[in-house]
Amino acid sequence: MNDFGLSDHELFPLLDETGSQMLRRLREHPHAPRYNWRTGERLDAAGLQRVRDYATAFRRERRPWQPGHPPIWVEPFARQCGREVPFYRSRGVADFSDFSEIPLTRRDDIRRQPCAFVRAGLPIDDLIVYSTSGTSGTSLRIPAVPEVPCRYLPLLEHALDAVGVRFEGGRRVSLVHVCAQHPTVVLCSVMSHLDGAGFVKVNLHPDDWRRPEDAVRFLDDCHAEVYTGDPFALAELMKIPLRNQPKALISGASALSPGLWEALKAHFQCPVIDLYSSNESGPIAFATAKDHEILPHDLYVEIVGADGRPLPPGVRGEITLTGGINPYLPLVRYAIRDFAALEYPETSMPRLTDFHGRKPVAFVNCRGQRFNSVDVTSALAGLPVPAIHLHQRADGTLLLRTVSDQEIVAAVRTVLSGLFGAEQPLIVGEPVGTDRTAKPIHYSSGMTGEGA
Amino acid sequence: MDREGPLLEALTHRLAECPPEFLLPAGTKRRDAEFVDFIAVVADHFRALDGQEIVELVPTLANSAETDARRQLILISVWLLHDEWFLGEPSLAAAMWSLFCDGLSTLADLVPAAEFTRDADRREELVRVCLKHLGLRPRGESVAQAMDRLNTLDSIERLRVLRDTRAAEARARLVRQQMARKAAEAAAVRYGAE
Repeated sequence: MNDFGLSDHELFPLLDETGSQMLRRLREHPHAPRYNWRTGERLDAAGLQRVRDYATAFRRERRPWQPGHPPIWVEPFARQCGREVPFYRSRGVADFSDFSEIPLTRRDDIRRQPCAFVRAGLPIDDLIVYSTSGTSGTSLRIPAVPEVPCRYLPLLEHALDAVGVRFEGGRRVSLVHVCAQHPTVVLCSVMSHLDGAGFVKVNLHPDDWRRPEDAVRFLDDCHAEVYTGDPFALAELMKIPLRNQPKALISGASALSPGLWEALKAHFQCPVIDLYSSNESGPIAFATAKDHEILPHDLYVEIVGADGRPLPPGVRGEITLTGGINPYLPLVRYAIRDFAALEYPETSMPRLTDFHGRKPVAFVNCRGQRFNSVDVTSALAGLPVPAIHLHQRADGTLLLRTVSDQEIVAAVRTVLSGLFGAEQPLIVGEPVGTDRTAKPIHYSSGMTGEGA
Repeated sequence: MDREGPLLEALTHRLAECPPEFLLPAGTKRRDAEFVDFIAVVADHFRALDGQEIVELVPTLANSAETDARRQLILISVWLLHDEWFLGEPSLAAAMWSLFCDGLSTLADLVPAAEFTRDADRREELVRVCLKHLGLRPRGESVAQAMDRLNTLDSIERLRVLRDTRAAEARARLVRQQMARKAAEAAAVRYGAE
């Protein structure tokens, strides 16, 4: 157990009777997972009030914008960052009269000096740190305060509302986050924003349970209102014979293929939301069907070309963010290495279209034809594949790693042979998910050095 | 800086030739031989400018210029402005008084007075600061040139940047320490799926 010596009072300053009962229930449950991380929401009354203020601002200020006309807060926000945030100050961000000429911020800037993103004058007594796992590059240490993760909840509520789902909260276990990897953090908590409702993060990997039957018994007893997880973990969740169905699923962390999306909806008989978010910015956009609608009220999204200049509507480029959920990591033109186009409906928030996650990797077949990893994702879209790693070796051989289900492996093989040609050498490696660095979708090439 | 004053070089040369007595500890009472009579020097200067009303105020300046460094820099500036060109401009007396009262304190606190006679850049800076305060610019320069050159030499601005940098470094150190605490590593529960 990772125990940091914090008392329950420090971990849950707002714990009331409902919350106490919930916490006891989750901690002392006879089929509970092996919890390995002792923390809590660490939110005090002032922090909770600020989360409520954030929720109010979200409802009041979430407004669409049109290309070339950023929301009214964007330029003053950038100028303020230019004056008060050491990193942007050192770049002279406040001196740019044209917002779209401000140089892009990159992940490596945050990695090198996370402290330089903490605005002068912000209180730092309650500072906490998130270390990212590094699945989308080198790992980051992100400064924050406890109210920052709680700000996710009003955003999740909005996305759920779009499919007619509302949290009941209170005595319910409202959220269960499932993982299927080893090792990962396993913990339980309560959420003051939802009146003391329970939250559990579980790992479906058998090592994190005392007995094989515990997972199903614990999860059924929790009867979560909503499950969250990456596509791989949600696909694993389908294998657990739950009696109690959730009201909705929220998939995140990597692209959810249309095939798996349909499979999840059919299996759990509930709506499935695809949430696009990042550790750096928090939630970015959500999709209840095809395209991803920008979610927060305080995040400005641009699509930029290689020169950092905004691209016209409908043209695919790099997703670039300004604002974000975390005042301790304010983003000014943060280019996130994900690629999409933006479309601007007149009456609703802009939407990401043609969205395929990370930067495309090029593959080459025996005949010298080039294929984009986006082509691979598209070709596989109809299959319920929760994870795929495709690597092209320097000699041209494709190395495929996916799940252990042989039917799916055979189906993926067929699709890839159709795409690259039957003569393309292709070998199948270890299933994804058996090592700790696994991420659901990963493309790389030893021929071009891309995606390494 | 609307009017042209003397040539810059004439004034910097004058500063380089500032008599060493002006660099002695400036005081108001004779304690020993190595001493310059602050009130007498300043009062003589304003007398030469026909500024009798100001002469009567000079003892108050001796009190308000609280440190040796401030009094020394005033004396050096008196030497500079006792140049013939200025003595022919009695209308500048009030602006000179204002310069001595509050136009030199910050600079005196930052840079040892002797530097304004020894170092070429500091000589030029003092000349330009004095001229600006009197609404003048060096002969042959445009307002923009004069402003630009003063900004380049600006010791006060340099110190502000230095102080800001130090404050920023101290803050970064504090943030780093806070981030390294065990309680920070414990983080808090997150509800995202990234």
